[in-house]
Amino acid sequence: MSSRAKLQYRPLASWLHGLHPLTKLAWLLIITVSSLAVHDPWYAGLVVAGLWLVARTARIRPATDLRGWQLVVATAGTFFALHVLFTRSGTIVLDLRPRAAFWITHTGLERGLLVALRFVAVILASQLFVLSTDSSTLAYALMRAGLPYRYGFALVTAIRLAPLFELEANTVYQAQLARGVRYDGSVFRRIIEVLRQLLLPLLVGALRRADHLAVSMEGRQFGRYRDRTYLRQARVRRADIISWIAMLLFAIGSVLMAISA
Amino acid sequence: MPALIEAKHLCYRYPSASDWALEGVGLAISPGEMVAVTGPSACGKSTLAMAIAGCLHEKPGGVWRGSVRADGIDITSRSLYENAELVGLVQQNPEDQFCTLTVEDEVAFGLENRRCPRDEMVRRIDWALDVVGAQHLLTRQLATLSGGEKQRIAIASILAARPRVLILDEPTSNLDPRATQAILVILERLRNDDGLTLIVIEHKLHALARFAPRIVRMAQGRISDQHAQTDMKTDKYIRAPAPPGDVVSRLENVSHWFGTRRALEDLSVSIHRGQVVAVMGDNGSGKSTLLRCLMGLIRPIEGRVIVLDRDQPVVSALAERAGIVFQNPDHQLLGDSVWDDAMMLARNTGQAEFVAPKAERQLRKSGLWHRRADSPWTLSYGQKRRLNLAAATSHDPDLVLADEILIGQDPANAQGLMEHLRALADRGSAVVVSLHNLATAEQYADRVLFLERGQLTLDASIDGLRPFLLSTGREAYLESAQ
Repeated sequence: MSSRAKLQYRPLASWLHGLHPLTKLAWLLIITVSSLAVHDPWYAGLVVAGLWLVARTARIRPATDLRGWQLVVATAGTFFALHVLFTRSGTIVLDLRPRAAFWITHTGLERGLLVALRFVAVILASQLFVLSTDSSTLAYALMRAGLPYRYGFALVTAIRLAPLFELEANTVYQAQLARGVRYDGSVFRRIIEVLRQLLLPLLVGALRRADHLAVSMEGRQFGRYRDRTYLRQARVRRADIISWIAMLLFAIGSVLMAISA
Repeated sequence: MPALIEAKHLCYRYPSASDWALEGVGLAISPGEMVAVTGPSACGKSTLAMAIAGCLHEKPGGVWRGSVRADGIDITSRSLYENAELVGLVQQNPEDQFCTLTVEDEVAFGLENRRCPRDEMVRRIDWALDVVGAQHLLTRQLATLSGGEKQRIAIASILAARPRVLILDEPTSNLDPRATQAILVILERLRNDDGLTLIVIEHKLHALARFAPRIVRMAQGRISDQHAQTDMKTDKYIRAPAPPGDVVSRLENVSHWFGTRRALEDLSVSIHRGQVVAVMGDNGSGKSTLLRCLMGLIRPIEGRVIVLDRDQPVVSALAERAGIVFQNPDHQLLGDSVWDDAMMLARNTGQAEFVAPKAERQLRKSGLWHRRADSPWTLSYGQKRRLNLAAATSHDPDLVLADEILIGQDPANAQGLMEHLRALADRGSAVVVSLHNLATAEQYADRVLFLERGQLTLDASIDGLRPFLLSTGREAYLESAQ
């Protein structure tokens, strides 16, 4: 059985899943901006540790539940190594001269650590957001918050159709294979040709689907009025209020650190 | 009683089309009446439905003549939004008409757009789901529903707005007999309890026999015949099974999963030359997965697949001796012209010279030879299907696989496709075809495999199918053969 984790919403009864989607979206934005704005590896390390704690208390196991976690760690490690190897300025902490023309500086270690931890923080925050937030709930929350509903439903439609297109692309690809089409060992021009054969049925399918969807939406009065009512009621809970206060404190702290640095 | 819907001399031509899709259609439908519209593929049935629903007269570039009056008012004097208050249209494929991700949101969608107050919305959603027997699905994600459940939600989402006329475009074409029965029960309830006026586009007229609808037959954009329902039963014919030849394909203890969903479970089966094998079972029972395993398109997670003397084959190694036709004809139109498409497999496998005369014969026989230079995208639905079959079989393959190729086909097209497959088996190919219709299976197949939740529950000669269905309480399948 395939056990490969997919990067998609997984419903769980945790405090993180229960937060209002806009609260989580605001946290994601603040963490991303502050991680890039504050040039302190200790700060980035604290953010990563905090996110790790959030994941664990929300019953998400980063090592197994997050998609491509090993790749994330390997990429962060590569960033770190590149900075350590190629930063020549700063206080030398390890010097292999004259045996080898290689030395490591404190600045290289600090920059490497900062970039690696920033990268991990942004990826971890994004994955936690995706895993704990139902995309349609987010779209409805954005519409309730003032996003014009036409744009909100563009998002909902994209989310809904993406897996269907993936399925359709797979079927067309299989149809090609069954007709003896080979992608391996073909010259570049031939690959472009078979890709065109793959894309044309998908394009026609997408246009047909768009046509049917337009009939369905207009037949149900979509776009008749400037505004609409909603069945879903957005609930702001106590946890959201606490979270917004924590977010405010975190944002103030981050700004102060960014200024002082 | 004055007509609720009345079309007079209705003509319609699609933008950039040269032929009229509707030509002088006249039709009057009374309140509470049920009308079944039938006819061959591309005869104008769906266009008529769209015209009555008010979806065509505002279409830029289309040519509209004649009139359609709904509740006494000319629909061209009203917008699509206004017409939709009276007439609701349920399209053929529910997947194509869903606008949201959950059952609750989908049924609420039209009400929210109408700015319906929340309390009223809750009441209407409750009522609509109750009518289609789907209240238990309220909190489900649409992607997790079966084909029958999706169709019920599609109907409920239109019903929630309480239209007076409901048009259903081939509501059962993608469904297995059991799901078809469930939809028919809903139609019965709508007609008897709610007095709804129903226009049902349907090939399977036998399925509607219990409602005694007025039958409207269409051909080439015109109404060719209208009459009260008469006997719509077809003759029963069970073929004498052909003896099995050599084994072409063998599955041994095959199991496969998609994520956590088990698609096939410990399945062992052999496919022989000279036979047509019908693969049957409810939607989602594993029929398509079985066919794709047989072609090497899916490598099962457990078990062994031996096809054409190759152990655990890959599709590229099988293509020159096997052919597969998928459910949706559009997914297999890969050539720039009809001829290019028909010859693609032969060219890719180095058999062009050998196959060309056979491909020509097949295109002539399928009535496509005069269209050989045209783009395959300009063909009608039935023509595309015939081209798919020609493209997959013109190299005389040893193994032919056809996955639900009768969906959306009118009886004449379906008969042509099945006769083609039968002829291939009679010439020595092994043919495996997944289908839902018992009568078709009995008429053309030698053997049947019945799947239930990925398990093989019957592997028998075709004459064993009917007793099996009876003994396992699958009366819905028997009704599909009436």
